[in-house]
Amino acid sequence: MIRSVLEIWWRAIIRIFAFIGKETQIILHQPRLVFSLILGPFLILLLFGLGYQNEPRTLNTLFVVPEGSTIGSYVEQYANSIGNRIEFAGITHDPAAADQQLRQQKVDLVVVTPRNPLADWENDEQSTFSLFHNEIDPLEVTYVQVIGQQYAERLNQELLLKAVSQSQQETSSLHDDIAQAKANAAAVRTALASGNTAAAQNSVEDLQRDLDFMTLALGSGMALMSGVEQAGGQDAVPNELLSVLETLQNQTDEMAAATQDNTAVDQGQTAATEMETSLDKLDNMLQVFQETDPAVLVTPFQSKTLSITQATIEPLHFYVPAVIALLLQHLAITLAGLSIINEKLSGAMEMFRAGPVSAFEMLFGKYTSYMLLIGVLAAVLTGLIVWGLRVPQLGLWANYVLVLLALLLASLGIGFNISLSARSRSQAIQYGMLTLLAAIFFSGFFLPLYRLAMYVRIVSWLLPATYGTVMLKNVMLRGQAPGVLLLVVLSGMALVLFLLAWFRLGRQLKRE
Amino acid sequence: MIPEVTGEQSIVRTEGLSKTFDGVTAVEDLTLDVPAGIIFGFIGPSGCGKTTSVRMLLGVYTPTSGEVEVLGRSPQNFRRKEQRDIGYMPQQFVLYPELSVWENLNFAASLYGVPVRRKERLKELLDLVELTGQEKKRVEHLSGGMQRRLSLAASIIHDPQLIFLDEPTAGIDPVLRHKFWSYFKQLKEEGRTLFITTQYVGEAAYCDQVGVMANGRLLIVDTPTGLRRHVSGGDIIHLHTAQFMSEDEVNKLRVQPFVKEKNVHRLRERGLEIVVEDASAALPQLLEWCRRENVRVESASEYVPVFDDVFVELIEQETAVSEDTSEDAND
Repeated sequence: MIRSVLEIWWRAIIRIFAFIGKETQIILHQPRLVFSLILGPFLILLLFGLGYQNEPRTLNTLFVVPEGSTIGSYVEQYANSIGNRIEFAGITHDPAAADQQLRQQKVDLVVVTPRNPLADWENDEQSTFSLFHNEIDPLEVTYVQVIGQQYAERLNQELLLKAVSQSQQETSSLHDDIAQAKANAAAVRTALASGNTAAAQNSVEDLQRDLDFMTLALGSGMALMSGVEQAGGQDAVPNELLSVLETLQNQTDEMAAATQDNTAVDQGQTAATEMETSLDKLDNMLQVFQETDPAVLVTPFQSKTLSITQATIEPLHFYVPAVIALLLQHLAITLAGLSIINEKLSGAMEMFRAGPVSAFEMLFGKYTSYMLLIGVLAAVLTGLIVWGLRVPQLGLWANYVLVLLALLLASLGIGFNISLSARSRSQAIQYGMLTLLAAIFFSGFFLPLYRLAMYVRIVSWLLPATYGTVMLKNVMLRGQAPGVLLLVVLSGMALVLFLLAWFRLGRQLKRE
Repeated sequence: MIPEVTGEQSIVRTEGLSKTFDGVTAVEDLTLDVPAGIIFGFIGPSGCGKTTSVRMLLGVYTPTSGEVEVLGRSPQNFRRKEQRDIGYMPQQFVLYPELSVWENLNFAASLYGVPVRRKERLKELLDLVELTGQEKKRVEHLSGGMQRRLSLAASIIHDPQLIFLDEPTAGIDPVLRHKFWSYFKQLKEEGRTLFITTQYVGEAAYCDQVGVMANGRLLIVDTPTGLRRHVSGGDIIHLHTAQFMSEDEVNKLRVQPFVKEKNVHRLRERGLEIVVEDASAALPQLLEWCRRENVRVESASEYVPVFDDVFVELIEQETAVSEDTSEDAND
């Protein structure tokens, strides 16, 4: 009894190995195919890595400056100020000629400058630079829009820098005025102490004039400084300048009152003394304003991007996990997709029906052989990529292998189901190509998944390559473990597809 | 080795077996009884239902009606054991062109669960089909004849009791066909039963029993000799005389006891075709009658009609019977 059961099992194993051996031999008898399967993708990636230029595109730009424009002389200077993204192609006064050049693709961009920005500003309007392009690629259109925004920002920045710089220069004489105000405050104090009310009154009037002038001169520049400080989180001292100026005004008022009222002489003297201190404070604030870099005042914030990944990710590196996922999915689908249809068309299925072969033995043998073959191809390809192209593999190799296993099993499941549905080889190949096309667009190969509408993402998550791409990026480039949910769903998909293929093959092997 | 089977034991038995595809009848009312240890020839023109019948016997097709039993069990209920006891060589070449001769044979062996130590068995079969020395050659580089021989080897690699060969000699040259029949004879001598379909009528002569099929119906099952006798009504003797025999003389001959049912026909010139029960017994009696009647004999011998003629005759008879039946039905 036991012997007979063992014999049944042993024969089943022999039959499974029949398919493993047969499928393996068929592939190995085609060395060119094996060679191209490994070297083809590697060479493509190598070429991509060598040839990819991670540089922003330079737009050959023609400027249209209307006759009599007030900003014509600044155009080239501004164009050069945003780096090499705009290449100055010249200035024309003829919009039609510029349009023709753009249509003939002799230039990439035409910038039409405003005729009279000053007039626009006086009318309380923003002055507009119009950017015309002839791009059809949505990504390039976005790039041109970004360049336009950068150009306008840069112009605004330049204007502000000039204004601030000018303000700093103009306030340089204010130190003398502050010193004069201090002297007047001291004179008021001395006059009040000696009881010379008339002299004190004269000095207070001088002091008031000084104060009015300083308020006017300091207003815009110091307000900017104050705004920067507030933006920096110093809400507790809102507008310190205003506070100082208010104090100075109050102290002047007290001194003026002391010249009119003998009982307020002491208060007037104290105010004069305190005013000297307040003026020192104002002088210090002026000093800080003048010494501050105009760029800091105009653009007080800048950004600095730092990655927490352990390696520098080049564009090639970013695409490699997706390429591996896509390639292995396509390979598995193509091999499995042609496998059963070939048996059906050659008539071998009839032999299997008449013989003692079960659907499970046949399918398990084919799964195993393709897993082995594609596994070896994947290992060689990975070796070439990691050690040949220096693409980082930061995660655990066990995680990498786990992801590939799930990816291959699910892809083979799709392939076998395609093969069981197809009525001809060309139909099976067509289904395989459709799956590849879907994977290119929807698996995150070149478009991030968030760019796809939710209902389209359902298609994405039906493709093993999507799971493979996401998990391989995490494992290879972030050094993280693959998401458990993703791995479980992909493995579940592989299991369901295997069971479905088993059921369908069983039906096809049954009697007609 | 193959278990001993007696010639009387039925290995294939069918009763009223029919198969219909989408309303079109491919096989109708097939009743057969094939004893073990023989070569059974299933002969008929292309498209007459031979392959469909074989597929029903193998369990590939489910019969629309009727009963079938192969190796004592309905093919619908075959266990692995029965499937291993059957060898099948399909009509078209189904092995793998990319693989070598040895790899293909090895695959077929594994498919039937032949134990791993099978090298000797493979060699033995390659010897039988004269493919020794071609082991490493890829099948796509073999000639058509070699491919058929490899198919044959693959179908018997697991040492089956019963072998179904669907048109094994189709499209191959006469020398190779002859060689194939030598293999079949050898396999039969080893105790196997062979169920062979063919459209070459002449091959019926190599069979122990022959079933003739036309238009999905089995016309007759008999031995090759029996088939001839069935068509002609008995053995045939061709007699050629030195002088023309008169009508009186021919009529005298017709009533002789060794002549079956007065069956004497004139041939061209001075020849006569005489139907007798048994040619070997009737020939001396005929010569004696000629001597007595002073008929000078130039030659007298048994005539064995070629199977093509037998087959054509059988088909014509069947057509006539069918037409009569349909006319009767119309009346």
